[in-house]
Amino acid sequence: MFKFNPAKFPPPLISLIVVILFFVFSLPLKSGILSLFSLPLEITSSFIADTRAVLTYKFILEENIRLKKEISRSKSDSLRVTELQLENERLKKFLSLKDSYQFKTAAARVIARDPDNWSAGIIISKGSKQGIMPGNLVINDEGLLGRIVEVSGNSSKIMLVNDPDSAVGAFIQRTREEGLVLGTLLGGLAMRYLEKDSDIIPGDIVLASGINQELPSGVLIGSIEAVKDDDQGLGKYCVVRTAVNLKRIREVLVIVGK
Amino acid sequence: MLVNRDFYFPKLAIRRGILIVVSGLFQLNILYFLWPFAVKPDLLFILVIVMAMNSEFRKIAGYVLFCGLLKDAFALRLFGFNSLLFSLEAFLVGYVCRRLYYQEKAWFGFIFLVSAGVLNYLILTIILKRPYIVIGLAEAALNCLFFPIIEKLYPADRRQAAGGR
Repeated sequence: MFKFNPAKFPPPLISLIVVILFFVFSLPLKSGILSLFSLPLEITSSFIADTRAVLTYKFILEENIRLKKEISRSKSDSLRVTELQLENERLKKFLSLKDSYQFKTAAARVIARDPDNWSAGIIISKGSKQGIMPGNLVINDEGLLGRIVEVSGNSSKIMLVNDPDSAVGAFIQRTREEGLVLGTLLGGLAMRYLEKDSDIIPGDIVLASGINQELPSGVLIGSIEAVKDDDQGLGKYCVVRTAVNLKRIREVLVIVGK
Repeated sequence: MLVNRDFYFPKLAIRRGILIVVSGLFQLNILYFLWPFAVKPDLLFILVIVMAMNSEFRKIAGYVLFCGLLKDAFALRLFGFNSLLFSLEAFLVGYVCRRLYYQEKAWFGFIFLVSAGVLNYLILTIILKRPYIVIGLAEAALNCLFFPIIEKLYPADRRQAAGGR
């Protein structure tokens, strides 16, 4: 009678079978591991953040004083902005334009990073239970961060803007020229498909175009660092410095709807 | 057979499990705060090579798969890539080590790290059609820096700890 003797199977074959089973049951396995490691990762993140705060107290104090001065300057600027807004409202009423959409957001904390060197991603502490879906865009107070690519119950993965597979429609604030902001291999950003005769200069601000209305138009991506001719010589491409320090993200806002 | 013989040596299993979890926490979180450069070492991959060099494949297969799965669960793309490659590389490293004189293993650790690391990125370059090989070389060099630390921390098998093979 046939007897199954697993000891006679070579280890690589058994490993291959186990790995194939892993592929088949990949989704519950991924969710399980993400859930298992969420709490220790959150604890580790908080501990490191608190330790850093204690160690960098002096710098934080100096930054606090500097920021207070900036706030007082901003207050006088905001009065001027308020005046401009009121004028804008009056003009809109005259032209019967619709108001811009309000976006619903969900705040989340970063609990882990992508462990590979060939992609750029982060994992946050909220998922489908909080209304997050794949494709949702992610921002913070400094600018655009990326897009949700995978969601489980209580966590989500975000592909950052500097991932090689990331592509965001953008325009230059000063010249209104449009292009595509793409991630590069070593975690940088490049803006491509610009006209050869464009007059973009280093320092120009790059904003997200928000063409498909998933994103408020005018979300900051970064600024131009260098302008070069592309490899084919048919246009220009620019190296973009991100507005957000992508290595120091702690909290994010996920745009979950309108 | 994937029977984990560490069942009979629970302390060894616990120490190895703790080492894997701590390496995972470092790789996923702590290293980003501490490491200033764009390319970082792959602690889980170093641990897999160390395990393969110091233990039989049958005893560590479960740990190797878990290391791969841990990386895959948090990776953005190519789920299963790390699990598959870690298993294959651990088996090949263990196979080569068994056929070499024991005392020569110290140098071969660096050779295994560099060659397996470059192989991973070569496969990535083919799959994703991007020149990742430069990043692979940089990562391999960093892995060699951390290899002695992880090898010191890894609890070897009892027979090998006593000086046998």
